[in-house]
Amino acid sequence: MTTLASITTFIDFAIDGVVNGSAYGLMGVSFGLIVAVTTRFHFAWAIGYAICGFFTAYVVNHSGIPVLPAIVIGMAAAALFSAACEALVYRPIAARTGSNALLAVFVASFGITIAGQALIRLLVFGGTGAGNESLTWIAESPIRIGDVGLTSLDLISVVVVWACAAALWGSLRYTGMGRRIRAVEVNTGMAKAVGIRTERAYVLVFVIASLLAGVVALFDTMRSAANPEMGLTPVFYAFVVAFAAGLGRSPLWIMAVGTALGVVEGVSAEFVSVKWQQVVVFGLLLLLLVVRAGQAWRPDIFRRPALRARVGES
Amino acid sequence: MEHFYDDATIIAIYAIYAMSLNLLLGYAGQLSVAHAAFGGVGGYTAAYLATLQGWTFVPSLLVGVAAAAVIGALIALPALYLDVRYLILLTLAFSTAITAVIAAIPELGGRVGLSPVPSAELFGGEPLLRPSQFFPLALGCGLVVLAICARLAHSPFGRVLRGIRDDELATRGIGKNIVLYKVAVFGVASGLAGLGGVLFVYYTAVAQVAAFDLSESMLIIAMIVIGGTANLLGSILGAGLVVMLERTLQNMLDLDPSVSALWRLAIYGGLIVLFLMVRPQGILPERWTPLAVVRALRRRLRGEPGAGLASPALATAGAGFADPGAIAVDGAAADGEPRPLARSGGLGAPPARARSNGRPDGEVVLEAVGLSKRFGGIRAAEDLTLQLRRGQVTGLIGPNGAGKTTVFNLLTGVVTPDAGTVTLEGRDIGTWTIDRIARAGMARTYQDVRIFPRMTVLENVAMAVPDQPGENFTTALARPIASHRGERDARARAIERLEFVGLAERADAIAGALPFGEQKLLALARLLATEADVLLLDEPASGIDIDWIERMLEAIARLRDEGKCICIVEHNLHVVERSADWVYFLEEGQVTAEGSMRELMGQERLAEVYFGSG
Amino acid sequence: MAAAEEVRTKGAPARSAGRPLLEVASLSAGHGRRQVVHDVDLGVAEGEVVAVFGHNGAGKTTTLSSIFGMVKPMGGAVRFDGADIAGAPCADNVRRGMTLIPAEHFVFGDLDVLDNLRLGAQLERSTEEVERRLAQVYEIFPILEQRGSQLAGTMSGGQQRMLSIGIALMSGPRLLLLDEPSLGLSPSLVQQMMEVIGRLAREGSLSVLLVEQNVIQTLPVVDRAYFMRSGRIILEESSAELRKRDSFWDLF
Repeated sequence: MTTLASITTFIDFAIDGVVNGSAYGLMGVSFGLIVAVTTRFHFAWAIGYAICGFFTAYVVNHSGIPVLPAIVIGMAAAALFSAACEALVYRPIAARTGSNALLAVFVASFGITIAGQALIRLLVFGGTGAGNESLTWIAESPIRIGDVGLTSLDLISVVVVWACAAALWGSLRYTGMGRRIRAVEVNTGMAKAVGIRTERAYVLVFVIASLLAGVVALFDTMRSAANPEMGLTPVFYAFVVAFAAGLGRSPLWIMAVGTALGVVEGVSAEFVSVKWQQVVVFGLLLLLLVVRAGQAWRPDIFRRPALRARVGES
Repeated sequence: MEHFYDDATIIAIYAIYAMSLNLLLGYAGQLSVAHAAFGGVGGYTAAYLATLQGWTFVPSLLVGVAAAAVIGALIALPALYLDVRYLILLTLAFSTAITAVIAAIPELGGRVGLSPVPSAELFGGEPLLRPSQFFPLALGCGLVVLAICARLAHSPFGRVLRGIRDDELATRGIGKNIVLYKVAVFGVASGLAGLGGVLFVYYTAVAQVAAFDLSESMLIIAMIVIGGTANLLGSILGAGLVVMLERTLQNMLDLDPSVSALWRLAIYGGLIVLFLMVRPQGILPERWTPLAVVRALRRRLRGEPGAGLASPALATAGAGFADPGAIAVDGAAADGEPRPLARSGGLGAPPARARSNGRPDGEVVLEAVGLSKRFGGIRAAEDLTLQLRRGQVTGLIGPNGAGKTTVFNLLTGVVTPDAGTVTLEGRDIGTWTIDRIARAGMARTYQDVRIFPRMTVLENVAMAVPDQPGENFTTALARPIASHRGERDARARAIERLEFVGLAERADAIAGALPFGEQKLLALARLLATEADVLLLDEPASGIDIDWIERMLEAIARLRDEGKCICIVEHNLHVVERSADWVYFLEEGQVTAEGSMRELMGQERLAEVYFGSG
Repeated sequence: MAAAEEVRTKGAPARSAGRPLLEVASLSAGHGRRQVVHDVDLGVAEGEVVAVFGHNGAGKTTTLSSIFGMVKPMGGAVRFDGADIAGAPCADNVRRGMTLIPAEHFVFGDLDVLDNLRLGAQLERSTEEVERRLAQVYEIFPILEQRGSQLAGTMSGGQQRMLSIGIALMSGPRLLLLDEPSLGLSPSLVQQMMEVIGRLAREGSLSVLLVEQNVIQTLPVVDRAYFMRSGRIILEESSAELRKRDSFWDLF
């Protein structure tokens, strides 16, 4: 009986891992899209995430606005914030700092994150209070499949998240807008040569990514709670998944990598305590990086372009 | 009064963090968002030893610093081979991993941390309990850190760091083994951060993870961004500003501590963004060192005209995040007229060379036999054989895509050949690294010049002088006299090279502000300073006007007469005709013809290949 | 602006040229602070095929890039069909009817051939028009229709060149800017390509400004040519005159 019980626990953890991992996957898709197309290290993604999750819950709880319109407001606010980051901050900084643009944009993005979290707290709570907002919308009724349990919210979240990734994949592949985005990513010089306005494409990518992140944030809020700092841990997962999967890969592949990461993390709960789970995740990342460094350790190729070469930057 | 000492101590500790990070980020150009995490390594090590092993202050401090330094040096190793994007990820992951690990190890107290940490006492003296007692210790450590950072930054060692920051490839190309420098600077910066962490832990009597997390690291970066990257005084200024900001918010505005903490975060986050958008180099730009400020003030007081600190060339030559290419010009046109050469000795017309059908005699210094290299499906070099001889100029010509740059890359170790050998004065250098080959006597210039734009003309050339004692880490720190003497020699030799190319009068100009023609001559002077015998010049005549080309040709001719072995890749066939004694014609990675330029021009097939066949 | 009106051309042009389409006067351009193009005057009339020859590093690519808007000119005037376009962004110029085919990385390597071609027409709203242009391109380069789903980066150099011309044609241009189209191609492929370019210019009322090192194989399709060296124009001649020369060594 103990074996069966431990198998059941194992499957429970695994299912938990799939639910979490799917979310990680969409985070990676969202973040990875930005880095692959625009090369901005948009750490302030964490704030966009928090704006959608926290703001929506706050609006629902503190004003009469029903859930659906509140979601629209939250998503719109997050999209506006992300677009503003690119158009008002990253673009001018990149222009001023030339070859150091990557570092400077990253540092600025972090500054936005730090300031953003604090400002949200100050403006909404006047600085005091725990600031946790919860959102109830989709019922969390338990579902049992055999001996294993999950909630309906979990199931819906997995379906929706994968559907979003599939939608992105589809539009990148089959729509004109998607084609333009891929064009900018693959060969920026040629994109300009065919008349694509690359600056607008960058902003568009930020908006799309923030909407995807917003979906994850909403489910996060519904499954646990929302606060202004809720984006900090997710942005790390987004980072890890995006780079582990490889920049420029298909959204479906990134989803698979994220889900796998979630399962590994979930199943490791069987063997290590919760505290060490995060260590496992970052240990894996560090290992990945050291391996990549080792691959590049050859005298003739000092700086191996570990990311897919971006072509045609004038 | 205690309040003042409290503020001062905190400022001193943060200044230690900021100065050490500045060494890493501002001078060496290596981004680390894990600086506070190294502070955590040092702090927690010391706290553990003190609380759970009963160690006294000084030993705990030393071990803490050592632990941080060692781990920092270890982190440098994968960092060497990672793209800058992965470096960000690496330090980000490290920072989070360290805090996660610390929080998870039960002996370290988890989220609550270790406390109380016994008071610091120096060698059995009084325990330093009150801020006024602790401050002298903090100040003393701060001054030591300032001394270390200043010594390193302003020594030849620091100059190499700046070279790594501005152009790593060019720095390797003049013979510097950057692996050693990177490991050293990571180790030192992390160790000093560890010192800051130890002081912090003893001062606050508690070791808590939250004091060493990512936001703390960003706080330190903010201090540098605001105060001034690559300026140690700026680090102190930045630390002071940020700490006082919080104090002001708390005291003067009489705010609740949690509220003022939030405002502090909001403000310094906003300041980071603002500064990066408006003034990326920070308040105090790189060249505003105390010495420079004093000199400029003296000049101002004496009413002397001339470049003070207000000179645009100095003021905008900022470091850190400012665009290295966008140095302002003080009024001069983009490409001015070349100045007349120094009268001393005068170059005069190159001696007439007899035109013979065979190659002029000369000792073979460099020989490449059967070099092959493929990049994917492209044959960049195919069974390539050539010789470079002492006292001769050899030209490499060929249509686009013929593989000329690949030849240089294969010879200098930028690319390893798939097959074939490269022999330099009898030694097989096929597998050697770029810097080792440069030190062995073969170095090159680059088509895109690659001078160090933020350094002066003199510094550019001085850096290339080999065997400088001051570039050694321990010498720079511990033997200032030897270092200084070596530097004087290096500068003297640099001035000689500058005189050769006619740029001696521009020795103190910022290299990035020079017109392109002078930059090319500067690159040549820098090359000569390496004392390499084999000089590979990549398109020395491209991008410059007739007059500059003349100067370049004179210099090349004179070098040849002095016995150097020179190889030039050129597209301007006039230049090749005038300067080369022997020419190799490259096509699709192979040498298909060789001879004097005149002979080659007479071959119709070559004309076909170059201009196309009918 | 004089280039098109002044009689600097030696000998009569091979075909009678129309009114000036592109006029460039005193153009200076470069990268960062480095000036690579000094005081260049040139022009292309409607229906003309004009070449700019010169060695590597002579400033040819920069000239083309600054006309098209990839690089902002440092000075001088550029007019297209009478309108001042100096410093205008590329997207505007494509809309006006100017298209650039770069010397390197001239296809979207990781995208398939059909996507590449559709991207060429991404400014065009009417699907009918896009399909019509696609049919035209397939007529000229049937292989592109066959290889529609192949990744562009996996095609041979010659095929990629053909694709790049196809992409350019999809934008329905009036002026084609070609940067070293013969780069990396074997002489026979260069021959084929030049024939295509010549045919397009004759039949499609397309004007062409191409920049090249390969003089011999380009001359047959060209009406007029400029020679550049070290960033300056050193000669302007009709192709008829140029064909009488026996060597170009002194022009490089």
